[in-house]
Amino acid sequence: MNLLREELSWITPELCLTLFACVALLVDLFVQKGRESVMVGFFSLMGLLATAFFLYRQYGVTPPAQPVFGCMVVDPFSTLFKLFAVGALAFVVLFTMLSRQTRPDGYGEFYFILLCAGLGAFFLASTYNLLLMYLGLELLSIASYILAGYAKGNRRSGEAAMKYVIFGAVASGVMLYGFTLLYGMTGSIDLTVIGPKLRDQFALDHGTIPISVATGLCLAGFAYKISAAPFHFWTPDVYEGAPTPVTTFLAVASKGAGFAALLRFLQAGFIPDRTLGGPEAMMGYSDKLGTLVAVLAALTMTLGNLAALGQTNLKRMLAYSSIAHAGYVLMGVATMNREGFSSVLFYLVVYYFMNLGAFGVVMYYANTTGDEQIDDLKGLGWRSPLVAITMVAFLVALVGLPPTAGFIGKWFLFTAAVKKGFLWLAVVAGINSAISLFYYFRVARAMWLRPEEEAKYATVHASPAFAALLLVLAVGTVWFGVGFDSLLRYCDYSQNLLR
Amino acid sequence: MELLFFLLFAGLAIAGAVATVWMRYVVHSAFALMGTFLGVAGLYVLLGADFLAITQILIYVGGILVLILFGIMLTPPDRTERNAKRVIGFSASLVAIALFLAVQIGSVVRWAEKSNLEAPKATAAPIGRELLRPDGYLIPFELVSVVLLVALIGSVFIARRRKAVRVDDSSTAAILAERGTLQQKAGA
Amino acid sequence: MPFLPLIPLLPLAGALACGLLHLQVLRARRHHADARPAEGLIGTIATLAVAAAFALSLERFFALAGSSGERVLTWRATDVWIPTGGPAIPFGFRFDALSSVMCLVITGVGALIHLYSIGYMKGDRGFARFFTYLNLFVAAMLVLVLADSMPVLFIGWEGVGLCSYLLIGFWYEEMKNAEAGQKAFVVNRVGDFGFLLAMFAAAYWTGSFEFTGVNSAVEGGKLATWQTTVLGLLLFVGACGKSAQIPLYVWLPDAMAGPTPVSALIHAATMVTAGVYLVIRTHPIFDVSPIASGVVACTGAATAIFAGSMGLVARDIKKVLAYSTVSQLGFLFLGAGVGAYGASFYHLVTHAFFKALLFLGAGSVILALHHEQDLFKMGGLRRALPGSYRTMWIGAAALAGLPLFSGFFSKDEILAGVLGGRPVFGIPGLNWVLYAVAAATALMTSFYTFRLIYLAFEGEPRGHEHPHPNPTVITLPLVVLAVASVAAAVLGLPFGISHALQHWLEPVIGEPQGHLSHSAEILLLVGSGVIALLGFAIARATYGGGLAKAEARAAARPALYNALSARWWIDELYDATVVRAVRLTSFIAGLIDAFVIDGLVNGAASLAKRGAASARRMADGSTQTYALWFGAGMVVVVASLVLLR
Repeated sequence: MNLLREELSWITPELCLTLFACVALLVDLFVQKGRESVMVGFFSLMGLLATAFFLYRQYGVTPPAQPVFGCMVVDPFSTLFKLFAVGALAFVVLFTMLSRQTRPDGYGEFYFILLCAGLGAFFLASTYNLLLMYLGLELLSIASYILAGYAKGNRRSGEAAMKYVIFGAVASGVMLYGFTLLYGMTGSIDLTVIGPKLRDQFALDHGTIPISVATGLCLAGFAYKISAAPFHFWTPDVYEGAPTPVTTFLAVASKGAGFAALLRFLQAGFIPDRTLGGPEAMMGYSDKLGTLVAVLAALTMTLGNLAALGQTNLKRMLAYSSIAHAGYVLMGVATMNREGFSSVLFYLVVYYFMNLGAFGVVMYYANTTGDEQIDDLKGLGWRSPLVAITMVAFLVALVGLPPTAGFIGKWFLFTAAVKKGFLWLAVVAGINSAISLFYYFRVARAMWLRPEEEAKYATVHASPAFAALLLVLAVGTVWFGVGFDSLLRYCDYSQNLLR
Repeated sequence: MELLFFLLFAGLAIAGAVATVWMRYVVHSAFALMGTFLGVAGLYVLLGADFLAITQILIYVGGILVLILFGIMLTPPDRTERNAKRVIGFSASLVAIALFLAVQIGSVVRWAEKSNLEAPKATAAPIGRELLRPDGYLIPFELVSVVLLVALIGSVFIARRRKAVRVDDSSTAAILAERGTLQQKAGA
Repeated sequence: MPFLPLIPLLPLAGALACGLLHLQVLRARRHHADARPAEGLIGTIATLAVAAAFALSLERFFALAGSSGERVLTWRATDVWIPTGGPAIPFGFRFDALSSVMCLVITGVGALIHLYSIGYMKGDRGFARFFTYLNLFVAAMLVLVLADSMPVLFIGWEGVGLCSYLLIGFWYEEMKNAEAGQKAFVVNRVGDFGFLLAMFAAAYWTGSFEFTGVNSAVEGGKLATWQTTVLGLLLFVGACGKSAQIPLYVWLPDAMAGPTPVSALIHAATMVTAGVYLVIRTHPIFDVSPIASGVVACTGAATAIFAGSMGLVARDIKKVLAYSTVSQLGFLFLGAGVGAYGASFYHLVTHAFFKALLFLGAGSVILALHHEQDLFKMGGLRRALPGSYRTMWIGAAALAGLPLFSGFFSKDEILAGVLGGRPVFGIPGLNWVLYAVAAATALMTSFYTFRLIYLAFEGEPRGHEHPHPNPTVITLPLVVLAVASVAAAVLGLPFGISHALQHWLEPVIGEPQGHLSHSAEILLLVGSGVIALLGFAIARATYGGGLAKAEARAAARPALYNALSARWWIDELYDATVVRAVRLTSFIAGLIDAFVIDGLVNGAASLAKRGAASARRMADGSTQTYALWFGAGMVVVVASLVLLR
């Protein structure tokens, strides 16, 4: 019993999150009409705060990797991603609360599902068990389907949710098939067992075709979750159709969790310990996998950036931009080494700030004007300078220009890729960054380089709370561009995975 | 004898799946799907997983298939898109076959085996114990309950009749557009 | 707090202050659409910030001059600013002979131009915004020249690019201006790409991001010749972008869309010289690679004559000066390419003075004529604007290289350097060709400079508006710069009378390579003087009588013109030879521009466009299509894993 209690203490963040999800669901029933948004949101935030507190207490514990219940692990890697998810959720909740026109019935359900989606992300980040990984993915996905279709009565939203469901089902089926094959070959669903077993398979020189098929299928599933090409097609439709706070969640938290699972999957199963020296075939396979991911990365960023060029809808443009960014991040994954994975973590944190910010501005703008067209941003710079200035900071970071964190993040990704020998990939990414300049620039131009008189909408006031949120994100975006030492160390430290 | 039953059930499952994809009418497809479910259940029985076999029949045949049939019944028919679906179905089955063959060709690899495998007896009780053992499947089991809860609440929410809902920010533009088309129609 | 970082921090603080004041104005405009910024306050803050930076630079300069030994002041914020796994990137400044002079020029000329701008921008709605950008530019430029490592230089490099772009498109209400800004930005990206590659290559091969590390590695012979050549060429691509050399010069003439003080400060005196500065800073690379330095010299010479010929027929007063700037920058690169770094830097400094003077003078004329920029509509301004006339005459004399003005000596030193310097591409005869090109360019320079003076100030007024006199804030900087344009000569007089600048720079650039005999120097000096005077004489003979209308007619209908009219025979000759030749040249240049350069740019753009269209088409919203892609992608992923070895 004591053992159970101790193990339970390791999953307090998960328990706390689940508890508050239920609280949010129930609170909705008891507060007076018209105040649900604030009250339920408040409780959700409290829950996230408490969760963050428990997570914080877990950070830096010894030993760095603590197995829990035989299927989960509490280590700096998972803690980082959980903090990431909690932070993203907090902003999504705040955005929803500040969204002036949001009047859907059932705030309780909304926040409940949102927090449960976060729970799914938690499990994705902290498991090396294929079953649990699949369940976490399903929890996250099912919650996301519902959230994407949350704006009932809106055909776009409904269509988006429908497409999302279909593709999600196919992708998780494909992935499950891959998992099954892995189980069939190794007799285990535990990645820490699968890894050595696969090493034996490679050592026996038994042909790698089943392993290839299994990995390929799993990879397709992960690629779907992080919206890498050519599994990304659902992304723009869903991002555009879903309510903006939900889009923010999908673009940031969901994608981050997908990367977490992908990294752990690769780390545990497919990266030979070079110090120990795995069989030659495995080394070769690992490199081959890396090359494939590199090709996917190049494809993803190119398709994302090219498609973003001609978009007129701001949200759709950002959707393609987030695809492109998935491509950049994959660059770090392709290295299949510790340095590359660190740069992935770093970039995801950066991505978190700049994308939350950009979507926040979109939401603010859509809220106050009911519009999402880039051209209609005309004159925003003069009408509400604070919002527009923060937006410029986010855009500059998204392009990857100094002095923002976007530059440093890309810098690490590029150096990691070049060191691994993917010079061509770095060149492709460089060209892509140049292309991305054009469409990000169009937003800035619409905001600032059109005279005030052309402004389509009258002055739109940012509420102090909202302005504060944007400022926090903008400061983060710039701050990590200058003082990134501690974050970098944290990311590197987070690589102490259970092996 | 066992081989005969295996071939029977496997054939049922495959034939059902093929028929599901190729049938002209959706209702027929649904019934063909039942064949697949039953075949798979039979395979479970042959493997000694009686609990799984019963669950398969209860949930898939008794629950899901009925749901699908209801869905078909309540949806107005639309025959225009069938060709497209057949193309997709065809390519999808090709892909599946290709993958399966790839695995088979490559399966010089030895699949993992349990050496001391005794014939399982009743499986329900051990499964139940395993599901609640902390070092077993407790966490996945609990997580499944959350997944189901989310799915339940979500589906209730989506299915709930639409009240006068003011929709979220992002949809305002769409609403305006819809209104525009309505007005056009009214004008015409 | 050490002094050194304060030099760029002061203008940065100024920029912040002005930016806040601008926000305040924007806020006020919500209620009163015509709310005016506090111009006096903003102008004072901005100017004082730069002036204080100048004072500080001066103080450090004397501290440096007084110091013994290596003559360098350094400041390090951190040794490991960005850990890379390889060599760490430090953050620090380096105040040595080279950067000290650059700092003085930037802050000195900068302060004067700030002062001038108070008058020039009076009443503009974006007054505060203008000074914000201008201060920010000075800060970035100072970071650029003070940087002790390439990444830090890159910060300044991008910063000045950004400010330049913001200021070119300052009056963005006109599409033309915004487009000019965009063009500058895009063209500069090409250069930046080269610079970035150079930075990475340098770090990779030499194991250091710092200039001292790279330079000493190159000098120590650690790099193979091909490596230094690649490095040099990449650096030069970066320099080409910033300093508007062929083929990346196209943005600079368009950049004249910005307010005139901007043209003076950024597009004449400081930012555009960053490329030359970079070459001098990394000169050991060019010293050991004859190919890289040869390319620098030849590109410089080609740009000089090409741009100079375009300046001959331009009608817009600022365009004349813009082409002249490109041409003079070509001179600087020519000098740097043959190893005459001291001469090149000397001309850089004098050019900063007299070209800023000319631009500011042109600005005063433009302002007085209510934003008229066409030379053919000016004329006779000598009486109305005597201050502008006199100072611009001095500036023109310096640019043309009339004897005893500063441009005369500095240009002559470059010409002497071309003959006495290292052989281009290792072929001694080529230096003579380059000398001839440079001399021809000098002739053109002298001609178009005085053409400008005569068209604008002499003869009868052709404009319809009455010029109004300029205030003191505008004329005062002109006078100061005019004095500097003459006095800068003492930095490097010939025959060893004064080699102040050369000596001062020796810790950085080393002893000058190769010497000419005194007699050769005298010959060259006389030659330069004759060339300059010849150009002046031709210009005077052509335009001295107020013949602008004739030129207009000749340019419009050359074939119909009466060739026998004795009075116009010079114009005819000019038309038959120079204009035709120039027409032909500019036609060919136009073709190259339209088909090769534009073609490349447009080709890349349309490629991207087409790619974008098909990328968009792939997402047509149909679930079936997506499913097909999904399935195909899955098969490809699996197949490539299975099949690839």
